[in-house]
Amino acid sequence: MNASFESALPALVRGLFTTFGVALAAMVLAVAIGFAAGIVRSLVPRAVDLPILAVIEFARGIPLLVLMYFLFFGLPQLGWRTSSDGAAIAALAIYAGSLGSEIVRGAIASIAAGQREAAAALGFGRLQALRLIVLPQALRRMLPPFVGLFALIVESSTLASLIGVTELLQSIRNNVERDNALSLPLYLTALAAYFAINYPISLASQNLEKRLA
Amino acid sequence: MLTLSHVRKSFGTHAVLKDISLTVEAGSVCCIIGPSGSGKSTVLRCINRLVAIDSGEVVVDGVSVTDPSVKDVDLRRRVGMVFQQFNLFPHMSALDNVTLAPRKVRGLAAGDAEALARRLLAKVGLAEKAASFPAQLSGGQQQRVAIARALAMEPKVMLFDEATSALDPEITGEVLAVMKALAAERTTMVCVTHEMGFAREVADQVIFMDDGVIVEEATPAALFGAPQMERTKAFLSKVL
Repeated sequence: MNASFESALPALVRGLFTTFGVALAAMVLAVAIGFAAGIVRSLVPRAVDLPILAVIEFARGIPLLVLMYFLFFGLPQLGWRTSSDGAAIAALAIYAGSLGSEIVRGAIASIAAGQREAAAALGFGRLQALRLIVLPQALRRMLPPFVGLFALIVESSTLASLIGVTELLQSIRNNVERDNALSLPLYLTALAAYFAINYPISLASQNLEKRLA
Repeated sequence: MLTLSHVRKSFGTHAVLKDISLTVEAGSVCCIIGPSGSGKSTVLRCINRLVAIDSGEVVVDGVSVTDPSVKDVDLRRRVGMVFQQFNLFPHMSALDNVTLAPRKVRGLAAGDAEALARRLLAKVGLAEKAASFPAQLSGGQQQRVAIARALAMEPKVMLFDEATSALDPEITGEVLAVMKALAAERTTMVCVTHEMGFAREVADQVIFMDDGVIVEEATPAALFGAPQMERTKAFLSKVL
C-alpha cells in the first residue's frame, strides 16, 4: 500500500498542531509552577526551602521519559487513569516547571540587595517590595531563559510519541510505516519542521537577552 | 529626637558595635566619621532596624526600635535613609521613584503624591528630570533623586550613609549642597561621611568611631581643632 508525500501532509499538520498544543499547555503550567515555587522559595526561610528544593531536584533528576511512563502506565494502577496527552503535558510541565522555578528564583536573587534595603528603608513590607520593586526588574531577566525553556519543551515533546500522543514525530512515523520509501523525505521534513520552530525561538531568546541585559 | 543607649551588635563572633550611646537633638546634624569597618554604617542601620541590635535601646521620635510590638513600617516612616549606591529603582522614572512610597506606604492619593514629589524634585534641583529614568541621570542627580525619595516619607530623621562616596569628586558638591540646605532648614540628620569639610561646616556634633566604639564626641570646632584622643589625632592627620 503506497501513499504519496502529499497525502501524508494533512496528518503532519495535525501532528504539528498537537505538538504546539502539548508544548503550549506544558509551558503555561511550567510558568505557573515556576513562579509559584520560585517566589515561595525566595521568601521562605532555609528550613522550609530545603524540602521544596528536594522536590525540584528530584523532578530535574529523573529522565523525562521515565516520568511520562510513570504518569501514563504507573498511575492507572493506583486508579488514576491518565490520557496520553494529559500524561505528556503533566510530565513536561513538571520537568520544565522545576527548571522554571530556578529561573524565577535566580532572577529574583540576582536583583541587588540594595534594592531590597532601599525598599525596606522606605517602609515597604517584603511582599510589597517583591511585587512593586523586585519582580518588575526580575521579570526582564526571566524572559530570555523562559523563551529558551519553551524551545526545550518543544524538543522534549517528541518523547510524548512513546506514550501514544500523535504529535508531529508520531504522525511522521505513522506515515513512514505506511510506506517505507517515504522515510527520507518524511524525516527530512521532521528535521526541517523542528528546526523551523525552535530556531526562531532560540534567536528571540538571544535577542531578548542582548536587549534586556 | 534620637537616642542610642548601650547598643551592642555582633555579626557572628565579630563585635561590630560595642556599647554605643548617642543622642541627637531635634533639628541638629550629627556627623559620624572614622575608618572603614569601624561600625559607622551599622549604627545607621540600627536606627531604622535594617540591622537588629543584640542589646541596648534605640528610640526615635519616642518610638522604641527595640520594642517588638512596633511595626517596621511605623518606624521607617519616621526615618529616611540615603545610601552610598543611591539604590534608585531602575525600572521607574525619577518621579515614580519619589511617589511610590508615599502612595503605597503612606497611602497618599496619586495626585497628592505627585505634587509632593514634584515639589521635592524641585527642591533638589531636578524638577526638569522628573520623567528621566535613573540610567539617564548622572550619579549626583541620582543621589539627589534618592534624597527626594527619602524626604517624600516626611521623616523625622534623615540618615545619610556615605551619600557622596560613590560620586566623582567634582560632583559631590551638588549633593553636599542639597544636604547643607536640609541642615539649614533644621532637618534632623545623622551623616556617616568622609567629607570632613562638610562635617566641620554643617555638623552640630561630630562623632569619631573606631573598632565599634565611640572614641570621641565633640563639636566640630573642638574635634577637628583640638582632638583629645590619640586615635582621633592619628585618623585626622591622615584624612585632613
